[in-house]
Amino acid sequence: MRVITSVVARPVRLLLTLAAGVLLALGPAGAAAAHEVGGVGATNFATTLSGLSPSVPGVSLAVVENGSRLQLRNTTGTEVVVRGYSEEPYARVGPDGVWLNDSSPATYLNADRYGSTRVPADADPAAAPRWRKISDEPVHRWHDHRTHWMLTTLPIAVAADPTAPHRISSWRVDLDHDSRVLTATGSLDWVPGPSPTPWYLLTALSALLVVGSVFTRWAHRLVAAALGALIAVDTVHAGAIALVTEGNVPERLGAFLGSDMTALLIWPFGIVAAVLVARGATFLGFVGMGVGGLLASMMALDDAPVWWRSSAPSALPADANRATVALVVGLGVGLLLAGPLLWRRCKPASRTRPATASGDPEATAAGTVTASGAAAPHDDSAAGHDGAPATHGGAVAAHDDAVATHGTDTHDVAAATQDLAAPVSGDEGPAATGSAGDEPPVLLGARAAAAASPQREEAVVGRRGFAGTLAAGGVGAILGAASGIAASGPETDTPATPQVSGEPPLASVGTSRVAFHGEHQAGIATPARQQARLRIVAFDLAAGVDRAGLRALLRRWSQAAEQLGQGQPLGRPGDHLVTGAGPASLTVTIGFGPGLFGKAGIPAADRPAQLTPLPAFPGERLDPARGDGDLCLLVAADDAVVVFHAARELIRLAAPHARVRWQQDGFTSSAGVTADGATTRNLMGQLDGTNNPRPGDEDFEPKVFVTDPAAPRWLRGGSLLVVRRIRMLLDDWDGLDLAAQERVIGRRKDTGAPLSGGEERTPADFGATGAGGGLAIPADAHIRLAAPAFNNGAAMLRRGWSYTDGAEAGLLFLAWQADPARGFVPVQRRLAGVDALNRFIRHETSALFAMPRGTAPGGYVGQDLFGEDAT
Amino acid sequence: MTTPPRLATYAAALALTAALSGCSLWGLEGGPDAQGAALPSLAAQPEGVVATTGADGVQRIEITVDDKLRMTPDVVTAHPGRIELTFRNIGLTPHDIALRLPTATATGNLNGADTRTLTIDVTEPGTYPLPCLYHGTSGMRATLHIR
Repeated sequence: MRVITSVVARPVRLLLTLAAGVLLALGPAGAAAAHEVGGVGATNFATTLSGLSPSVPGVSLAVVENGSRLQLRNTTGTEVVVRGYSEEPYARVGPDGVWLNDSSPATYLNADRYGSTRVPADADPAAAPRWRKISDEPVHRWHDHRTHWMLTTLPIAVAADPTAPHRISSWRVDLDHDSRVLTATGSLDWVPGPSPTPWYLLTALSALLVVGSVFTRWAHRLVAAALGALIAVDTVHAGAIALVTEGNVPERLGAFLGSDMTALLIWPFGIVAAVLVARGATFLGFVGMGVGGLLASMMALDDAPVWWRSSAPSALPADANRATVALVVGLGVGLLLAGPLLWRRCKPASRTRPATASGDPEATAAGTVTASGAAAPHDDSAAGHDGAPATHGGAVAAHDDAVATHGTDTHDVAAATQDLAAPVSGDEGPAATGSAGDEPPVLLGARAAAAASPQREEAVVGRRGFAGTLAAGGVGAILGAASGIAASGPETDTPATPQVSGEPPLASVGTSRVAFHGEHQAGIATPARQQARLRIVAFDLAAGVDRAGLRALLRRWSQAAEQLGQGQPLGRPGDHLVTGAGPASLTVTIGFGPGLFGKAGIPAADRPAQLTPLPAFPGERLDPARGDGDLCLLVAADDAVVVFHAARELIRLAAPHARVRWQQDGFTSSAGVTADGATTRNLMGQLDGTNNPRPGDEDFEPKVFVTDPAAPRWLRGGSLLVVRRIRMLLDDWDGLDLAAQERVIGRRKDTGAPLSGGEERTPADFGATGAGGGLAIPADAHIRLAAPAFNNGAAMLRRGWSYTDGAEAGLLFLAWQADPARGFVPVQRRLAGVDALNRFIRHETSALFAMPRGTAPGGYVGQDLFGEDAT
Repeated sequence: MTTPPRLATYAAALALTAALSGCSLWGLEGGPDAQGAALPSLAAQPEGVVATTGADGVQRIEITVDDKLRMTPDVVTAHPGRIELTFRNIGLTPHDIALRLPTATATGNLNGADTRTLTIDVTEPGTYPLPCLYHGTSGMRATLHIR
């Protein structure tokens, strides 16, 4: 070992560093292009050839390369002519080899998977054929665009329901043979793939095994074995792809090694590293880390889709192919973590004296550099930890070129070191803690293992900068890829890597999605945490809009709402308002006002009883122009720009069928500002919504959603929404002292606990008496009057937002219920008369909407309203 | 001697991380359950555009074809008589639009940025498909209503 390292260490270091740079630079480019065959990787599109009729022995047609091309083999003595797109002769295949007709546009179009080319002006299907020989073999393969999907977006039907199989279209290709027409027919289908979950688990398991192996007695051998297995599996995977690649040897070799031969660089390095690690070279664990990180990231980027798509170009059975991908990603991620862990555990003891402040020139250089390095922030997680092995100090100095600077101005050295690159300070930094025993924080609890590390005498490689950088880059890359997997995976997915502390998950607010489809519309009881921003838009139906127009509008809104909810733009050219933004839990809830019935061919008599317009209440001062409406959209998300964009796009789609009647914006606390599940405060400062029905409650559904069997089908599973803009007279309110405010509401302002005692969620005891003998919760307190117990059980789900409009502010009161006659109406009747709060609020606008039940994929909200002609 | 490789690896690592975090993963078909897939555009299509009748009695309509394999408008209404159909390829991908009329014809290959005008005489009311010969399987077609 000593021989190898002492002789080889320096050149190996150099080579490794250079190779790593090259690999890192090539990696992404290779990943983007590799592992496709004929321009097709894993896919759910399936091109099937049903038959060639009449069949002729010796003439065989096949779909090859996973649907990318057709292959015709003709071993008869007579030529077969393949017809082009205008029935013109395109190719001749026969004993004389393959000839293409330069007058056929197909000759040019069929060379490219997507037909993105320019057909020369003299390529006229009607002109006389100009034959050109391209091959001596009686076999021709071509991209026949009649047989595969040519668009770079999904078919509309597939986009509406990607988890169901679809027949996209049928195709036909005619061949002429011996004065007969041979007709090939087939289909293009969408075949959904399996659940990726087992493969996530296999990935995670293999990663854990590799990490775990570091803490066994056979750490080196097991890490080396993992590296060897990684390369073996990657080779099998690439070989299986090469086997299905049709073509000559260089083409197949290209498929095997990746388009830019990256594998040719990576595999030998990995094998050499595996052998050396097995023989005890701890440092080369970092090479294993690099190789693992690169192969895993390339594989995850490139081939992870085989987990959830139905077919992939590979000679292996589909599940075996999926397993190779899972093993490469898992072992690679494992090695990425195992490299630094192995170093921590088994780092070689220093061959030189520990650094001291003794004035030894060598130690001085290292010592002072590191001392100033210590001034640099110490929290650089990955690099810092990976650099940590240098803890035992001056070992570095023996080999490091920095030694050359000893005796010079140490501040300059330090400055120069820091200037090189940020991680360098992290690299040297930990050595500042270099007094023995003062270890920096340990990754994944390896302290015990490190303490027991064998005192191996071995040349020390000082290029911790390289290792740290590689680790930082690799970990970042893998975490990025892993979070991509996690973000797009089903809810059940398992993180492929342990959580590593780093950047806060910025993306979690932005990337959260709420499913549009379901039994109930989104935005009523979902998401559990009400979004921070709301826009309500009420529309009047345009005069003359008929049933078909209304139906088209609802269908368009539903499609758009689903798409926006997925964070997809609607495809309007130039619309970049939310480019780079996630959906941020966007929900769009669509509703019908009482006024809709009697318009657009919807009979007035069809208006359900639940949608009876609200009665007038004493004390309200309603602005009719800012209330009611035939249709309503509730657009909510955790970001104001996302809400604005969605509302505006939906308003655009409404034209010419409906025009905006009024709009109102609302806001509440953003996610991360208050605890999830905490009741939010309204602008009076009260916790508002404490006594709301909760989705877990037994009677939540019947309270909030229409379950009445007499209700029309479109409304069953829907909900009735009362919207009231309630202005708060905040100056008057603030004139009350705290105790008076609490008596008006009946709850403590700070904790939200009822004045009868307890905590926020403690049920109010309306009979409890206070210190003076009077009622603890006064007779005119808001919570007493609004309590279901005093309103025949009337209850509603209040999801209010605050609003502000210049100096005015208040509550955008939104209440969801199965029937306002058993919800808002009795409660408001009672409140309007005697509520102590009335002096401080004013109901200014009012609207009532029936939100239809949710829709399944492929359907649209309100579809059942149209009965038989619904589709 | 130490500096250049360090800088190079650091820069390369940064580039890799950026490339991985920034690029859209997994292409057209997206992640599991087509999450993040490239979805078709929902841009509203005009519902049935009527050909404009000129002073000479010829009905004229322009249909644009593009790289998203759309024909705009995709439903055209005209009366029996002489119709001038102009196909304008506003994309790069070539198309060849067939007119499945009693007198079948086609635009012939229409390269990116090309325009071709066909004049047809239709006497029979009916519904006639105008598929793209290259992209019919992928659903690229328009419809001509004569009534």
